[in-house]
Amino acid sequence: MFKGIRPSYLILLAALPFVIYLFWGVDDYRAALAFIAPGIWTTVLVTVLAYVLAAILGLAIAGLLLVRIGDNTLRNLFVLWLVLVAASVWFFTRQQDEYALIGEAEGLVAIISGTPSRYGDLLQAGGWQEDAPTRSVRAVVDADAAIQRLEDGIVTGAFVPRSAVPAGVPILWEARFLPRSESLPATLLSVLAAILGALMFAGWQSGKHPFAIFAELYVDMIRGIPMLVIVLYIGFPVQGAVRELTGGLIEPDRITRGVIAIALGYAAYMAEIFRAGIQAVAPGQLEAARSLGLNGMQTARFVVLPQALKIVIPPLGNEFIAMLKDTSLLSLLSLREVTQRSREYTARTFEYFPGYNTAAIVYIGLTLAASSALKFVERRSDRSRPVT
Amino acid sequence: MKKLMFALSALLVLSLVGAQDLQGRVVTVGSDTTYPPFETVDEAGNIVGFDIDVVNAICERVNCVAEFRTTAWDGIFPALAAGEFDMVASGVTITAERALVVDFTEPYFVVDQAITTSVDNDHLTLDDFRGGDLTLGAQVGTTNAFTAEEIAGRDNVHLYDDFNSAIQALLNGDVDGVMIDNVIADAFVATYAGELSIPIPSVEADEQLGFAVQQGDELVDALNAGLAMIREDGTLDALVQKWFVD
Repeated sequence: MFKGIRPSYLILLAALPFVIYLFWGVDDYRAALAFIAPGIWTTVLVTVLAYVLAAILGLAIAGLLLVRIGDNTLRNLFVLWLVLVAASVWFFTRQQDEYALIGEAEGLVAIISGTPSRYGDLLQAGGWQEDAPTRSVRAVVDADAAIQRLEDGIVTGAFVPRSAVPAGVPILWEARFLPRSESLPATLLSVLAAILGALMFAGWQSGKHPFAIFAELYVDMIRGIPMLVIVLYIGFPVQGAVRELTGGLIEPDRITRGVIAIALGYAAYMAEIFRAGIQAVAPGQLEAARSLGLNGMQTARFVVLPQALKIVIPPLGNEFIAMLKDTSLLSLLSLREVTQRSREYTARTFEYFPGYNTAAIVYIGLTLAASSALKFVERRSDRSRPVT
Repeated sequence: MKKLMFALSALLVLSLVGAQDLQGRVVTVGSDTTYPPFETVDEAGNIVGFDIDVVNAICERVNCVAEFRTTAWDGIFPALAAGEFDMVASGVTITAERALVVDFTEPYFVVDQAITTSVDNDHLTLDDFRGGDLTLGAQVGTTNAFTAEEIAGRDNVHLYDDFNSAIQALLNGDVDGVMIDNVIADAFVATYAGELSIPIPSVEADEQLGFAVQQGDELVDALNAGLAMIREDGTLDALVQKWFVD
């Protein structure tokens, strides 16, 4: 009677009463499940959002991969490149901030918020002058507060904008630098110009569209980076840079950042799947479509996509299951999904086996549910397969 | 009488040395080396810090060779219990819950907990964090995390893998403050000069730090004897001076 069911599923089925007993009757496991269960919602939510975003991005990248170069492409991009270079030069040549060190040459020194970290390090290490002593730093909000602290004798020195130094106060040392509100966009724009320049050169040499080369580059690079590194990268440093660049205007919360990180990573794999699906459609069919008088959009809509989608459904489903498991990496951003909650539970109770066993069982349940749903979708799309 | 006492205590110490000679044994020490100035990895890749110096000083007295191993804080106690290393020296606070899993030496250092914020939030007080609108960050499984939960409530506490990540989250504005041992806060404020501040230097938590060993391991007697000796002869005070004052 059990024919047609995978033998390993039979074992899982047999283990089900035991699992139910475990979470019903054993105190440690019941407590662990009660603590971890709210994280299931977060795990599923993040997976679904990241999947949708990754599919959209992947489709867009697959589209870029297939873009052909036109007559005016390079000329138009060259204009864009010139704009980028000009904007970057404009930012690089903005007014520099002048800062001055006042007070005594040793002891506690006040630094105002927003001072580039290399100057804080320099003052601490005593590198601003030969034989300068090492000193500790105290951060304050602005120049007025720094000078107030100096007058009160809380600090012995202050590193403040030149314009804020009261008249008659001797200046020990001066530094000039581009403020971050200008140096950050300047760096960003010059990096973008460099990338665009390289893509244009490669496009001119190979006859491919620079955007197609970019898509190729994206897929190759992202697939070479471990998902963990992508999560840490988007979660911490990129967040700080975006916040500074936009003056705090764009400040995605942790869930959004986690979704973006996972989606950026998986978009590369999805793009490859979509590309493979599209290219699996025989070229003869495209020629047939053209000879029937279909235009590009119609060919895509009626000939390519219906066939390509059927090919890509199984691998796309596998990506969903892989993403479901990879959301556990978001625990590093303190996102309270299943893994983070099981870590919190074990850290508090030292019940390591109940904590992680529960997490494992929850993940098995989720992935089994996902793969069953996938089987269902596959069967449906098979049934509607046209007679060829 | 005083002389007699001295002679007796000297005898006691001597007898302890006799009893606690580990005969050059290699003691492996697990440590989460992301915790300045207790333990960090320097630019040359060596593990350095207060704990390292203290353990080495103890080992000098009781004749052992300490071998430090970097390990993740998450799971450090089960790893010790499973025998992955002989002891843990990682700025560990002695708590009743942990004592159910491992044995502790006598305390070797006492710290308090503090709340670090960005310099713009220098005006915040403990009551602001009790209000329920502000969030606190900490490392998962630390006593700081438990104190943070008591103060701000569980839903307002974000837990990270290590304090480096928690401080990054603070700089990014994900959390409003980081609950952290006061001496560690000082180290991070020096590292991120001009960005961090310590508006709440004490939450009045008396944190006794000890070294952890496997339950029932006699190594704890040797460590306690060595600890008593370096406390007696001023080595411990000198190390405290070196790492936390200068």
